[in-house]
Amino acid sequence: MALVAAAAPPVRCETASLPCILWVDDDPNVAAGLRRLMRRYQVRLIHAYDGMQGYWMAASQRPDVVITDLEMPKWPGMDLVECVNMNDDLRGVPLIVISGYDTPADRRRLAELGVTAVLSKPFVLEQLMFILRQHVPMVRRRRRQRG
Amino acid sequence: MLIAEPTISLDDLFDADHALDARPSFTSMTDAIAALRAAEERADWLQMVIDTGNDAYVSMSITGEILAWNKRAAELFGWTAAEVIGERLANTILPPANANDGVCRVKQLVAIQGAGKRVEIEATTRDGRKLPVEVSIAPMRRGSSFVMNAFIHDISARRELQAQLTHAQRMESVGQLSAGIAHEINTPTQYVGDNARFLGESFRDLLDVLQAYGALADAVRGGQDAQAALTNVEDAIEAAELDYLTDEIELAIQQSLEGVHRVASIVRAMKEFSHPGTVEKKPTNLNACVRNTVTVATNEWKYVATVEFDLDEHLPLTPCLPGDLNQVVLNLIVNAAQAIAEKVGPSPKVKGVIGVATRQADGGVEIEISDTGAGIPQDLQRRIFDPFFTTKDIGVGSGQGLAIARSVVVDKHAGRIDFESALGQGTRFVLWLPLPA
Repeated sequence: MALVAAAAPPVRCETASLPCILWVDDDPNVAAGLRRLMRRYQVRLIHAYDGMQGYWMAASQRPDVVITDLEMPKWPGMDLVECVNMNDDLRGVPLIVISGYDTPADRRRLAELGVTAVLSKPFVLEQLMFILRQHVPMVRRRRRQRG
Repeated sequence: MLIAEPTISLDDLFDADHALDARPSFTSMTDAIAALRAAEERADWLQMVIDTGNDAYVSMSITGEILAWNKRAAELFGWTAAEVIGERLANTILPPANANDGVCRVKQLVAIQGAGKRVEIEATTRDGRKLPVEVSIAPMRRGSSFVMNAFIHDISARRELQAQLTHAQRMESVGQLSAGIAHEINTPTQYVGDNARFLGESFRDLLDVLQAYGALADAVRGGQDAQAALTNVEDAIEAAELDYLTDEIELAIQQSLEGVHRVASIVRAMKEFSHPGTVEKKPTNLNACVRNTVTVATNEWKYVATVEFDLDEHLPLTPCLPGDLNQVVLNLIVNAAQAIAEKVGPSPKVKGVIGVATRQADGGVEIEISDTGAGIPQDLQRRIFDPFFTTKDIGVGSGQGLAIARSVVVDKHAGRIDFESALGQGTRFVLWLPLPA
């Protein structure tokens, strides 16, 4: 019987050469749309589809930036932000919140939690890029040329 | 008040033959006169009671002919007693709703059995206004026949208040829903926009490839170095990552259309849902109603429950007030989702189930909304339809949802609303609405 190859240990973002962005959103279409646009940049984009998975990935992959939606199954974004804040290993990781809908109370709470920025959907990529550039190098990929 | 035949008049009593044959004999003329006075006074008394009453009093024969009509009836409906006595009810305050209706509305009234029975109907005034009234009707034996006595109470103020309350509750739930709806609309808008941008960028990449192909065609036609032009084409293809684009463009288009469809369906459902409350009942597709309402409330249930439809696709159009009925279904769906969340928590591993079914039953149609939620404790079950009764936290529920549901279904549609609930297992509400015979 063939041996099942052991799963490769996860490549930690901090050890990888490209800046790593963790994107947490329960809608796979949002993730797909963004992945297409981010493809132009030299970044590693990883996805989680709920708050709990997001926290697990943040803890295990140590991304350079965490971007999260607010309303999600299994831990809303607010819980994820609070947990990331309380984890010493993740202290200082910029948190960007992107929400489909937020109330003034949500905004106040997020400000108290010290999130880097709050964007409302739909946002345009430049708004996000402007914020991201302040935390990670967003270098456009050079188009491949045949040698 | 005018009272038409049959009635006792003083002439009857003075009629010597009659008086001697049929009435108790009096020992003296003085006694007879005293008894007559007493009877006269009693009749006056009763007449005054009827005339000073706050409700309209209408008496009619079983064929619907008006026999009596008090002052309040004259004020309320605009006809004087002299004008309507001897007329038919169907020619005055209860005109047939349509040509085929005939005397059926009158029959309906007469068919109400039992003392203390009240029914809300719409009467018509002399100037053609529709007037909502509550009718309390009782049969009274007169010799070998019956007359029907009806006390009619103007409930237009109450109806107005009910309408305001329903409207207020609808606004409240629209307010609650708007957060969810904003989320449901903003999310697809995000990725439709992202995808359109991606398609724009991809289009420019593809133009590069096309240009390279154009140059290759020119080179071949002009007898120039085709090999160099071909290398350029291959470079352009690689630079554009054509394989990637081929896959992703198709997906991006498909997902964008999906997103547009999602936005369109929620906006359409919202429009159908918020139907300005019509006064007249209109034939309505109840399946479409419940589907729309479930869509509008998506954000209220999607994290805790799945919705299972079991709709009778042959359901006949049902006369109803669609705006009000949507509100009832919404209230029940939101309650179901909250009952499930109460049992399984806000982010469960295994979601609960909200069942939505329609069927024909018992000369009408039924809408059933069930949940696998926490259930209603036995001791609270008899209070759930009371206005302002709620077990929910402040800001979650105003305690009007089920009171309004009852009012809409029972008072406005002459239907029924029943429920059964088992603690820890769930609750099932069944609305029944009558179909026209």
